[in-house]
Amino acid sequence: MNIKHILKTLSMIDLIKGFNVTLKALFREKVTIQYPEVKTPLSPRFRGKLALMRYDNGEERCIACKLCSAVCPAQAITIESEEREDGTRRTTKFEIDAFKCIYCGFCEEACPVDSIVETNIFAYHMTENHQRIQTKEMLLETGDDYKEEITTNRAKDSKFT
Amino acid sequence: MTEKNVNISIDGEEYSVEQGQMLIEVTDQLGVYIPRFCYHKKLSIAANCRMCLVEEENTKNAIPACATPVSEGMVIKTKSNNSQTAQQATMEFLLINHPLDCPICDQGGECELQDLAYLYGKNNSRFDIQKQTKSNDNLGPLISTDMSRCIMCTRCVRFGTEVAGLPEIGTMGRGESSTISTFVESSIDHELSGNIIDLCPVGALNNKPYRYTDRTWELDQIDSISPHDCAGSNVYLHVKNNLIKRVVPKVNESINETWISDRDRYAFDGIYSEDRTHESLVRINNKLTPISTNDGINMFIDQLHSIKDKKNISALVSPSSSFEEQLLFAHLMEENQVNNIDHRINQIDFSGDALDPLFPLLNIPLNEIENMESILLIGSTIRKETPIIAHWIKKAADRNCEIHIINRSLDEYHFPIENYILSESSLIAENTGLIVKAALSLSNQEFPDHILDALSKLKEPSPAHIKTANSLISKKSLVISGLVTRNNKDYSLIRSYIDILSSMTNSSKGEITFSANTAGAYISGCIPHRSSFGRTKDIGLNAIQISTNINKMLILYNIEPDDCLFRDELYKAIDSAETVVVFTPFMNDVFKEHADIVIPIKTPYESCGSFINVSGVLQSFNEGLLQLDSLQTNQDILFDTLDYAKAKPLPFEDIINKTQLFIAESKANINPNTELPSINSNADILESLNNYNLYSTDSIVRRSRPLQLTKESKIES
Repeated sequence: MNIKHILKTLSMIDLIKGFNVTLKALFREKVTIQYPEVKTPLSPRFRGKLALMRYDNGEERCIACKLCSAVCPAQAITIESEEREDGTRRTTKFEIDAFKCIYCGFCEEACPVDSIVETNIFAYHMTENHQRIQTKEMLLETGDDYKEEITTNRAKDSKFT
Repeated sequence: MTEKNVNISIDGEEYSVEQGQMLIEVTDQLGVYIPRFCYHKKLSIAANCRMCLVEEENTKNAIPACATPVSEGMVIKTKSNNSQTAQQATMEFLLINHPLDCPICDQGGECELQDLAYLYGKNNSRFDIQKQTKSNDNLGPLISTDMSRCIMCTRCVRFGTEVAGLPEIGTMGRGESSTISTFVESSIDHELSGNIIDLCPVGALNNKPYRYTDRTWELDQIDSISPHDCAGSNVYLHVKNNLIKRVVPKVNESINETWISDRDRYAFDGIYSEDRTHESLVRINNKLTPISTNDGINMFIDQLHSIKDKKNISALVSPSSSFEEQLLFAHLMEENQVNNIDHRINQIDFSGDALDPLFPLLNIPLNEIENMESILLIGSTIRKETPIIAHWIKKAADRNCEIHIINRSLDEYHFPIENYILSESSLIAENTGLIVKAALSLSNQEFPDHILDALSKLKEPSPAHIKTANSLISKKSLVISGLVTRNNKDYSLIRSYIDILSSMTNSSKGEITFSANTAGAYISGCIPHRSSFGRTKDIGLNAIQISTNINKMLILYNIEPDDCLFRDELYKAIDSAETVVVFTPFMNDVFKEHADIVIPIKTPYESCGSFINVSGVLQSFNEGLLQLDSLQTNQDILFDTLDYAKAKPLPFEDIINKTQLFIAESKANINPNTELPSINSNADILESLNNYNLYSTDSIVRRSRPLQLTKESKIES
């Protein structure tokens, strides 16, 4: 042990430096928020839970082109389709496995009719294993419920895309 | 023809190629790709899409590769700036009116326009006026139309005139307003019409039953053989989630080229019919009760063993079952001393059984038919029986082959006919005999006296008969008989006449048979008078005797009464038999009422095996299917049955090689038959089929919804 080290220990200089940091932090603006009562702001590009959109007249947008299921790297999307009575191409089954989904947003990019979109919802839960499968009805419901938020977000982001 | 070679240069490489070929044929052989839409190697050259424009150094403008024959000193640059500019310009014009509906187009993913737009198209369109739309014709239940997508390559029109032989669709209008249409609204009814779906480079003509269900990239492809006719067309099954979604042709230049018939394409729908049975059933207290397959097989074997007099047991096997199934089933019957086994449910004259060849055979490959100079077609509605063989005959006719026909009704043929001998079904034999007689007087060969005697009893041949005989003798010829002959009451006599005629005129001969595997049924021993591979055995009852007999036990393997020519007799036989055991993929009312043990089996689409086609080609199918699904194949069920019956195991490992050797040997040593059958016996109780219905031939076809919606299926048989 050399003399320099002994002096440093006895004068408790390190302790004082440390308390100095604490003292400074005491007067800084607080960054901790009281989640879930308070929430952080989200980017309009935030990629959360998936939803299916409708046209303003209530018709579902999805045309069963299956590009989203083709591009999905996690193979989370299952689609079956057939010709509807009016001669249009529609899905008979549109399911997303929420456990498989990695929220990459490729599906939204691939969609030619802006049907599948990602919402800002990042906190949702399920109590049974089978509930991870989100059916077409559930996805359309999410789209209906959050339509306003989704459209404003898209509008905000539009000048950057 | 002397072959002369010319030297050309393609993309800087020097080649010496055969003169007279078109440039695109040469580049295709050399593996240099030139984009194209209207060019198709099986169709004539139209040169109307202009996609194959390439630069040739000595010519001012770009030249169309599909319509330019190669000539000495050509310098072709397929990748040069000039070529690419020309191709891009063409692409830009084609895309002006093409709708951007790829996401809902079934062709998306396998579309030639999509691929080439990706490779040769520009990113942006300079066209901002409204795109043209066209109205869609209703072409019947098989083909869907989206005419706005059409790029007017006219492949479908050329197919109609050149391959199908009936121009059902054509081009209407001029310039921008030209459309592909049927002129007056009507369905497309030709038996090969489904091929225009594959020909169409875009999504204008598409598969109607498949419409909007799947995308091409989701499908797995399995090699298979069509089980519906004796040509043995090669097909691909496109499968998703273990369900067949569609069937498309697989190229086999020696059998089906690039075509398949509509029956091969759409029949698979029948296997998803509501009649399918998947559980074994046993009749207890006059009610069919579910039981495990093993127990069902056990019960069947116990009952089979308990019957002491094996003469009271009869079995009918389907000629559309695979060769392996037939072999195993025939082995099971042989081990149990059951001789009453037959597959010939569409034949009523069995008097020539002793003269039967080892198996019915067309003694030339199918693709040799087009080289024939004279063809005699006896009793055949060929277009309905085997559309693919009809296509080969059409090809021969296009090369000026003379077609002679003996048939009872004026069927619609799609080739020109040199000589039509219209004959009632009872007179087909006599008319054939008259041609033999005419040929005898024209040739100077020696023939046994009994034939000369028999022939001398016939009347004098007419000029028509002499004309046909003359043509057969003087030209490279083929005599071929069809299904009308098969179910004729003089079948044996006609066949002997054909044998004699072919050795007299030195012509090839052949016979069109029912279903995919009649030849296999002969070889595997599903006939009453011979065991497998031509071994002899005690003669049992034939199909019609089985159906008129009162059986203690009747076993039906993959046979429904509706498959059968004498269906009423078979109904009665099923009704009167003490025990009826059916191995069947489908339930029907007769089985529900009378069957005692029902063992479910798979259709050829879901099982694996081999078929032997009309010219003796053994082809195995569906080997890839087992990787997709761990299912119990029909062979497994039969192996189980053999186990329970404690039968001697069949040496099965090398069976395909053994069969191929057997076929090759029998092809090499065909003894020309010069015997006539004894006068036939019980045949006159039945009359031949009046009309052969293309879409009621087997249990799968009868249940196929798209085929049953066609005009053809409405024709009463």
